[in-house]
Formats: sequence, structure tokens, C-alpha cells
Amino acid sequence: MRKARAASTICIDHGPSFPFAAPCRAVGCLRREYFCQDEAAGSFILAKILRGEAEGRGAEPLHHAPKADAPASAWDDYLHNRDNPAGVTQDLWFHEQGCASWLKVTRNTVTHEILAVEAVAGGAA
Amino acid sequence: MRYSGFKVLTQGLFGNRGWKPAWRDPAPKAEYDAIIIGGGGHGLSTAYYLAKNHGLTNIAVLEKGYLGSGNIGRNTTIVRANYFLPGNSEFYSHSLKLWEGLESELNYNVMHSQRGLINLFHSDGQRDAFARRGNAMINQGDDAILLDRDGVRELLPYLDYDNTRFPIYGGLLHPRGGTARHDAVAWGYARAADRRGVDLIQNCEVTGIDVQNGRVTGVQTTRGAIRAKKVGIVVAGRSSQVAAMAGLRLPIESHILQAFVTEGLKPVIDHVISFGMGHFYISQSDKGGLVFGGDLDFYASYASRGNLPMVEHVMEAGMTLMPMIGRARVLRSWGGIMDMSPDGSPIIDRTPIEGLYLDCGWNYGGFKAVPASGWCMAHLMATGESHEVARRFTLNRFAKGHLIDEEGTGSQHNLH
Ligand SMILES: Cc1cc2nc3c(=O)[nH]c(=O)nc-3n(C[C@H](O)[C@H](O)[C@H](O)COP(=O)(O)OP(=O)(O)OC[C@H]3O[C@@H](n4cnc5c(N)ncnc54)[C@H](O)[C@@H]3O)c2cc1C
Ligand SMILES: [Zn+2]
Repeated sequence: MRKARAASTICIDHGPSFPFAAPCRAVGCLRREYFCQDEAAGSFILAKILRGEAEGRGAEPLHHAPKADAPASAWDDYLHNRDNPAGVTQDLWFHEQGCASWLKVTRNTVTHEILAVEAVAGGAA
Repeated sequence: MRYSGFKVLTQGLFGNRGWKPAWRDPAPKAEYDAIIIGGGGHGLSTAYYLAKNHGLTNIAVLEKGYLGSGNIGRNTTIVRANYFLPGNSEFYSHSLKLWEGLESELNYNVMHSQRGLINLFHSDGQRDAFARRGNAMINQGDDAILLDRDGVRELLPYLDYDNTRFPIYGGLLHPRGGTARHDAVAWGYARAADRRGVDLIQNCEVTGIDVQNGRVTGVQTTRGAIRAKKVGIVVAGRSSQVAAMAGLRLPIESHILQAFVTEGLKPVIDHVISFGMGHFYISQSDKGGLVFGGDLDFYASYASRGNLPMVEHVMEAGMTLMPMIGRARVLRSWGGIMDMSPDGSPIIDRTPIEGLYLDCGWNYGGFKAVPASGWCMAHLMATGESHEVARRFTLNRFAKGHLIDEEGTGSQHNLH
């Protein structure tokens, strides 16, 4: 079931932030296995959906939490409502059973293609 | 044509030449009294009850593919009424009662089989929670029996009772729970709706919703514009896209749920078994295949297929619970796009747009809801008022804090 695909190998523990590392070059990483991108997704925990850049708002801060004094409707929208795009989206992933990195992943919800991965400040990656 | 055993017999004797198509294939009219977007289980049952209970027959169901091509034909067919919270409790209870009369109601064999559902528990705390749930079910008028370990062993001798990680302490048996043949449910409602004059229009994708002065006036489709003063959005995993056509942003996130079926085997699993701690559940179809599944793949997706980590997880959980299935060969796996809501409960409500109604948020439990959802959505569309058993399924309950979070996992779509 586990097979390496040259163009998209990822360290099972360090994820797509080391897409071309073979083996993973993260400090202290003992992993020598590679998953294809689809498979790698399963070893991460999806933390919180961000609103998509597909809306054309350009680069956005990672958390869209309203200010503490924002009206209740802003909190309702933030907590419950979603753009839920069929296409490109961004989410924040937490590498729970690995190095505890937080990663901002840009990906396609229809094809499962991973378009970009950025480490969020503070992550081990 | 009325279906009956006698009909099957006489048709069989004369070469089965007399069967007719189960529904018409009409071209869309320019205007209807009401339009249902989506020809899944919920859209078809809504149309049927609009015609049957409310006498509205100048109505159409618009389906972008073929009838039953969505989740209604992809689910693992479990029908139950073992909910705990007010809101869900009375709704699913009503649905199960409709299931129990469905075959004669529709004159269609949906193979509803009340074989009993057993939810396993693995600790004292979980047993107490299940006892409480069982009491809630009994209070609602449904049935529940708390089984101890020996009670479970008597019914399910083939489980692994030596598992130390999740020792089996017992199970909550819901005798009226069971399964039904999912596509027969879609076909049964489709045929019954068609017989009452409803136009079922396939290969007709809705591409726009027309709104004037805050009122819905019709829809744009791949088969032309169609006018209607009432429009119901009943499109499950596609709810966000269709609602966006009317400028709405929903509390819905779409996720993939996978399912699996093995080759046909002789009868071996008589019940529906749910192993919540392992995220695994299983039953055996009347054709003999073991039908099983697990949890969501956890990240928002429209791919209609899942990923391998969840496949591995489900297989491992199955082997942990009942090692005897290890030799069965898996024939197929597939995924469906689930309309996950923030509290895991559905929405059957008006929208801010006059004449536009919403039925969504079924998560992975919408198959059992097909009869009651259609019943209540039809009531809402015909009368403008929420039906008594669905009145808590409001769109604004999130803003008001009246969440119906059955699993107590908090306000996050992928956790229910
Ligand atoms: C693997 C799996 C297992 C499940 N197991 C169970 C279970 O055991 N018990 C249970 O109760 N529930 C279960 N469910 C959930 C249940 O199947 C769904 O909640 C339910 O089927 C959703 O409602 P529906 O039947 O109306 O959806 P669908 O059948 O998906 O109907 C929606 C329809 O809308 C159409 N549509 C979408 N967009 C448009 C458009 N723009 N124009 C026209 N038409 C459009 C789609 O083509 C589709 O046919 C499971 C689901 C899955 C995927
Ligand atoms: Zn890592």
C-alpha cells in the first residue's frame, strides 16, 4: 500500500514542508519512509479551516478570529460558516503524531493536489 | 402498474415482457409551483410528500446527474432511532415509524430489515452513558436493551473478547434498528412521486437561482430557465455551492466518508454492529457482502474518493473487533461527499430569501432521515411553518447558541 512516487515524496513525519528531502532532513527526524501526497495527508490532523484565498482577498493572516469586541454575528460567522470551496482552499494542519509543526497548506479539495506548504512560525519544520 | 408478488409470478410466466419504466422522463416545463433541487433521497421524498400530504403536484425535482447518483446510493444503509438530544430524538423517532410503513406506502420493496443494531461499550463510564441514552430512547417511545458482556457474547460470539485495549463490557441493543436497500429507497420514492404527477428531471443541473426583491422567482439550469415561487435546496454535499447561487454562506463543510464491501459470503453477521471506539461499524447485506466503514477522512474534500490512511485504519479496526473477517476479500470501496454541520445535526428551514428553503447538514446520518426529512421539508415548503418534529433544525441556531451536538465534540464540522 505504501509506495514512493518520486515527484511527490514526503517524509511521513515532516510532511510536505520537506517535499524533496530524501530522506527527511529535519533535525532529529528518524523517518526514512515516504508517502505520496495523498497518503501523507492522513498522518496529519486538520486543525482549523481558513477562508480561501480563492475569494481574491490575497494573502491573509492565518487566524481570522474576530477582535474580542467584535459583534456576536462576526463570531458566529467565524465559528460556523464556511466558504467550503470546491477547488483551491487553505487550511492549517497540525502534525500531531510527528514533530508538532503547524503547517499552512494550500490544496485543491477536488483533486487532493497540494499546491503549497508553509511552516507557521514556531513549528519544528 | 402496481407491483405485487402475483405480478412477479405472472410476468415471469410470460417472459417479463410487460414491465414498464418506473417513471416518466419529462422535459422541464417553463414554470412549476415548486422546484426541488437535488434528486437524492431527501429531494425525492420531499417531492413525494408535497404531492401526497399537501396536494402539490405541479412540481419538479431537478437532478444534475441521474436519480440516486449521490449519497443516497453510496451509504451503508443503517436505519435507527437511537438519538439522545431533544430535536434529534423526536425527529428520528418519527422517521423510523415512517420506515416501518414505507414499503406499503410506496408499493416498493425497499428491503427494510429490522435486524437490530448493537453499539458496543468498553468501560464503566461508557456503559453509564449508554444506559442513559437507552433511557432517552425508551422515553421517546423507541426500544433499547442494555446488554452486558455475556448478553453481547450470546448474540455476537465471533467478536474478540480478549482485546485488552478495548475490552467489550457490553452493548446497547436497538432491536428496531437495521438496514434497507438504499437505491430502492430512491427508486421507490421516485416512482411514487412520478405516479402522483411530479416531474423528475434528470441531467438538469441548476446553475443559478433567480432572486428579485428578496423573493425567489426561479432557477437557471443546463436545460433552460424554469420559474417557480418556491424552491427547495436539497443537495447534500453540494449545499454550499448551490446556496452561494443565492448569495448565502452556509454553516456547512463538505467531507468525504468512505465505505467498503466484500465479496458475497454466507450469512454470518446477523445485526448491525457499531464499534465506536475503533471508528468501525459493519453489517451484512442481503446479497452477502460485508458492508463496513469508519470515520471521515477529516479534511474538507469533494473528491468522491477517500485516502489510504483511513482505509488502513478501518481494516485494522475491523480485524481488531472480529478477526474472523480477515479472509474476506474487499471488492469495492468508495466515498461520498457529506454535508457536515458545526453540531452534527441537520437544517430544515427557511432562508433569508422569501420562497427559498434549505434542507442540508445531514452529516453521515441522512439515510435514516430520508422519510422524515422529506415529510418535514414538504410541510415547511407547503405551509411556511416548520414541522413539529423538525422545529429545532433551524439555520440560526448556531448564532443563538442552541446547538444540537449529539456527540458533544464542539463546534467543528469534521468532529461529528
Ligand atoms: C459512505 C457513506 C455511508 C453512509 N452511511 C449512512 C448510514 O449508514 N446511515 C445513514 O443514515 N446515513 C448514512 N450516510 C449519509 C446519507 O447517505 C446522506 O446523509 C444522505 O444520502 C444525503 O441526502 P440525499 O440522499 O438527499 O443526498 P444525495 O443522494 O447526495 O442527493 C443530492 C443530489 O443533489 C444533486 N445535485 C447537487 N448539485 C446539484 C445542482 N446544482 N443541480 C441539480 N442537482 C444537484 C446531486 O447530484 C445529488 O443527486 C452515509 C453516507 C456515505 C457517503
Ligand atoms: Zn513533521
